[in-house]
Amino acid sequence: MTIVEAGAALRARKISALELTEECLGQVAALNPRLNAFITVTAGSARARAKELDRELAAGAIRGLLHGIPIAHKDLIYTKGVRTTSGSKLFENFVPDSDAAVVRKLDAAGAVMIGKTGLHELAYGVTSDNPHFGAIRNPHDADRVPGGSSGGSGVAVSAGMTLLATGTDTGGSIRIPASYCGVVGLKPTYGLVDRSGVRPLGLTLDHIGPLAMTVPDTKAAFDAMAEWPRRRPAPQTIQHIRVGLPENFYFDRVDAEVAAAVHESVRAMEKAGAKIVPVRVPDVNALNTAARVILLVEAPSVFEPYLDQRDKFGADVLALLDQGRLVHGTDYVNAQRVRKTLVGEFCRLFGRIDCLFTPTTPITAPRIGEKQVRIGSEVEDTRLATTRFVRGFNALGYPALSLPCGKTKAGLPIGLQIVGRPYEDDLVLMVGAEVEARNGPVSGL
Amino acid sequence: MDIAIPDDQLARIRPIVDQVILDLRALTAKLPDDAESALIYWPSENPE
Repeated sequence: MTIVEAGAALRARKISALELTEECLGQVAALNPRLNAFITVTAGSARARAKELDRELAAGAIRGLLHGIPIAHKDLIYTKGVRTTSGSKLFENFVPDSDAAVVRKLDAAGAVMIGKTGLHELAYGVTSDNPHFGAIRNPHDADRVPGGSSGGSGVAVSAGMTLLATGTDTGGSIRIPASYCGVVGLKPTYGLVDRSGVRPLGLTLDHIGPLAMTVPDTKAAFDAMAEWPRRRPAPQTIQHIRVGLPENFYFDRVDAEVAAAVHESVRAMEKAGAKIVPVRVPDVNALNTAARVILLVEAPSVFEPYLDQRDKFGADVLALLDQGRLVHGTDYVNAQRVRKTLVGEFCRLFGRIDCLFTPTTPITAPRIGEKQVRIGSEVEDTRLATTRFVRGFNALGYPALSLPCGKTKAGLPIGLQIVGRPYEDDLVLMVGAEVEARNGPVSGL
Repeated sequence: MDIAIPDDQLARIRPIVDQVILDLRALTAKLPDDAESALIYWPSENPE
């Protein structure tokens, strides 16, 4: 059931918020022992909250589209009185005394928190193979990763454990699990969702956004999460929207089935009346290099107070934090200068197009523990391959949506990424909804 | 206080950092040498 369907059923009194919550908690009880999507389940408080919202409904008070909708929060988003581990040994017993701003907003919109989802340690990685809380498993194939770092959120939505989840995205951490788990994930424009009360990773790269089953569901969540003043409304129609189709970079070293599915979505948009504009994109390798250097430095600047407790970090995260400590200040500043140059180049590109279509990831979900992947005849580091198409848009701050656009013959989901200009998140969501409507249901299991 | 990185870790990570910095410096060399390029970009400056 989608949020839109559940909301309609709730308002028509065909189902109660409590029944919806029980349905999700039942899925969690049945599937979490195998998939490990949740670190904490808040069944008791969820039931109490659902009953409260049912009483409001009975009195005719409806808060909006999220009234009575179950939600799970990524476990680095602070929740008052509920343990918030950040997937780290350092914070395994940390209980915040206040909610994050985004939790307050979603709570005010009527969402029912059913628990906290697992993640790659400190959100610093793309596999969600967590040394402290165990590997999170992809519901499409439990031997494969769900992507990360918001892996638990992607799994929870995909497996029907919740209708909605929050995630954070510093180098693709919402879009990658959306792609690998076959759900929708939005990295909004930088700054559109308040980051207060969320443990940071990359101070100039972090974003917060929703994961859900469909694009309209994602929009409903985003509407509740976002700061409104700077958002631009979407156009009235898809007709004449200029869709940029990259001639370089985004279809280099891509799995053939992934490329075919993305091109199929482009053709669907053309049939819908959009104008397809072949484009050459600026130097994305340069953008990725700048973004990597920036994150390498910003992450240890956040976690420096804890770096004397080396035994409390997993090996991969500790290695990245140590790498960042070897980068000179001059290189960090110059990475920001490179970033600025590329912002100008992308700004010129987006003067000719309204959105850009790319694969979200060049591959589908790799196996747990697979350090390298083969794409065609080439072998590539799994982490670098996974982040190749997504990381740059964190450096640019542009809104980027991942939605399912098909499955491989082996049944693994394929993700399409749609990128728009800053503050045009609503255009991106509108285009995504059109693609989704034309592709038919491909989300979830 | 500066926490030392153990030698074995340093040996593993140094080549990775050297490569990414080499890549970055190749890009930095191409930056325009004027005051405008010296302005650091922060994402809150996104053009509206």
